[in-house]
Amino acid sequence: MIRDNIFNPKTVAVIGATDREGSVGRGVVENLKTTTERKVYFVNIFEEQVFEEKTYKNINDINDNIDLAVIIVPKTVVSQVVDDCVKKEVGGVLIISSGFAETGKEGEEEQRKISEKLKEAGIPLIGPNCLGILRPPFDFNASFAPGSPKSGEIAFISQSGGLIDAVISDSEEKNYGFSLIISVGNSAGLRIEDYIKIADSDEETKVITLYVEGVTDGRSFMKTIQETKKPVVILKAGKMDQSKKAVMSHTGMLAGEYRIFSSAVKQAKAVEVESLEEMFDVAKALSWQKKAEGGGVGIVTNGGGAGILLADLIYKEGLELPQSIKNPLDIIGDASPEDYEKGCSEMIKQEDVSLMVVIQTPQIVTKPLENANRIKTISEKYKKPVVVIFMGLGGESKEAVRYLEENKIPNYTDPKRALKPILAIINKI
Amino acid sequence: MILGYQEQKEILAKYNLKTPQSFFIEDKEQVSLAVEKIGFPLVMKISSRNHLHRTEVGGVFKDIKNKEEAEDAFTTLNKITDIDGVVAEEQINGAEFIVGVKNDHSFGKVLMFGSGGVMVEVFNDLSFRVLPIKSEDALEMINEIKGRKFLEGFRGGEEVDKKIITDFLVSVSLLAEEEKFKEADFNPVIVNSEGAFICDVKIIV
Repeated sequence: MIRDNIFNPKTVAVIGATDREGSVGRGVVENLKTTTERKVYFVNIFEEQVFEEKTYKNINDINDNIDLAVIIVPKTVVSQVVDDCVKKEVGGVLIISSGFAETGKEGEEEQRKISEKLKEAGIPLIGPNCLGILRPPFDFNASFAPGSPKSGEIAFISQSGGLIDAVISDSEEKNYGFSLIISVGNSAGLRIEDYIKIADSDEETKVITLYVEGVTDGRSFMKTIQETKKPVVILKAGKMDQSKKAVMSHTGMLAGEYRIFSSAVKQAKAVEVESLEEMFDVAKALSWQKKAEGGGVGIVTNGGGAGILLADLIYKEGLELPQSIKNPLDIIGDASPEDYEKGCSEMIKQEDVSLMVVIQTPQIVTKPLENANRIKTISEKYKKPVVVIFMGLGGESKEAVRYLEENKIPNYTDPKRALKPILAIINKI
Repeated sequence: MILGYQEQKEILAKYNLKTPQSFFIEDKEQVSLAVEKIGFPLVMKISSRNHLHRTEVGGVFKDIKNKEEAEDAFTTLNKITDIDGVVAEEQINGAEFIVGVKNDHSFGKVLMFGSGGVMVEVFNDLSFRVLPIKSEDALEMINEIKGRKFLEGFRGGEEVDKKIITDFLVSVSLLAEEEKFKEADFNPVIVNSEGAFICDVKIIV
């Protein structure tokens, strides 16, 4: 279950809060202060004030219940601060500080002690060594990311904080947004499986995306994915097997770690992708469009070439294009919005068409905005998934794409990029 | 350690996994008895818990057509060091596959299925599943590899019902769940319309 006291807390204490330029602590404070919806308390033993607000020497000096304690103090004092949090009976602890298991044996031991203390007290732990957590629909950002992304329906759970930064930094340009972002860190308390379950139970989330470097218990990871109600999209890093262990069997030699991971993911019906771009290409399609009931893809295009490119890709997957009407249906370069409407209605009506792809190349007579409008109307009327490939984003095409995506119709600028999202919608991955 | 000839045979039989008719031969006199029961052509090979790759030590003779060839093969094979003995075996023709089970430190027991012979070494034509599996998973495993064409009547070859392999893989899954071992190779598994035959087995405990 998603724990609102952690992922949408009413009260937060930032331990190690500071306004010192260029510090992680300042980043967290700034991100948390973007809303006045929740009460944020600052704890700092050395500084009297942070951004002209009162600070507390100790979390136990705060005369209020604390839902979430965010810890950004140096590693040597984390343990002591955690003791204070246990005494305060906080709802949850997020440790951003690093210097634990990732640094070696000593750090690992320190991390184990901390996590055991919290476990004993029944207080959930996120981190340590992580970027933080965000829940954009509730203006909640307890991280030192460079700002907040757009709010939306994609949950992103990542074993890399840097990738979260990159995704957030790009968000302004994109038409999709995020319901939940979690930096997993060292997973001393809550583990990736817990986060997947949390995202699955979150009402705002429609799709779960994961960036994974490694999992400690593959079987439990796989079982968790199998049990999710929502689609899961996975990007795996560390695919090359560098270990050259002595093996006694053919199977031992051939069954590399990545191959097993990849097969398990497939068995659990998750979609594996090759890049961050591909991950969100698939995620936006799955978050906006429902899954198709059958496997038939109908293509309507005003450019023959673009239609053949997509048809080739689909055939190469071993799939057929239903032929109850001409498919791809070429409505020719001078296609007007009326031609689009007629062609698309004809195509989407076909019983053997479960998903329609509409392609537009920007020709001299093409009216992108008007076309987008007709496509949207048809998509709503027939209630079948629609994917759009508006190629060339000059003129009013960019605005047309924004309009389509605001109405939850995903656009891709190249047939190749549309392929994986299409396959995901028709369940052919 | 690789399990011995008899132990392996018993485990396979427990799960109704077929092996070609075969005899363990201890001396030259037993050759004629074995070949009479098996018939020709047949295969003769070493049985060894020390050699992982029989072919690399010249430990396999195929297409043996008469008793004389069989006796010559026995003499040659018997000279190879570190062997447990020599086995004479019915020669099975059909499509060759490799099947294996590995105990992965993270995912537990995993099943591998792929095209046999050079196909596996050169083209890596393999599919994997975390165990246990059901027949639907087994069918997916078959359809994922390019070598499935050998079952679909490729170049005038025999068309084989995929159910033979899905049943086989499900039995291997059951074996993997019940028995204790580290890794197992069934290579090759030769499939024809009569069934799936494990022609070589290596169970490592």
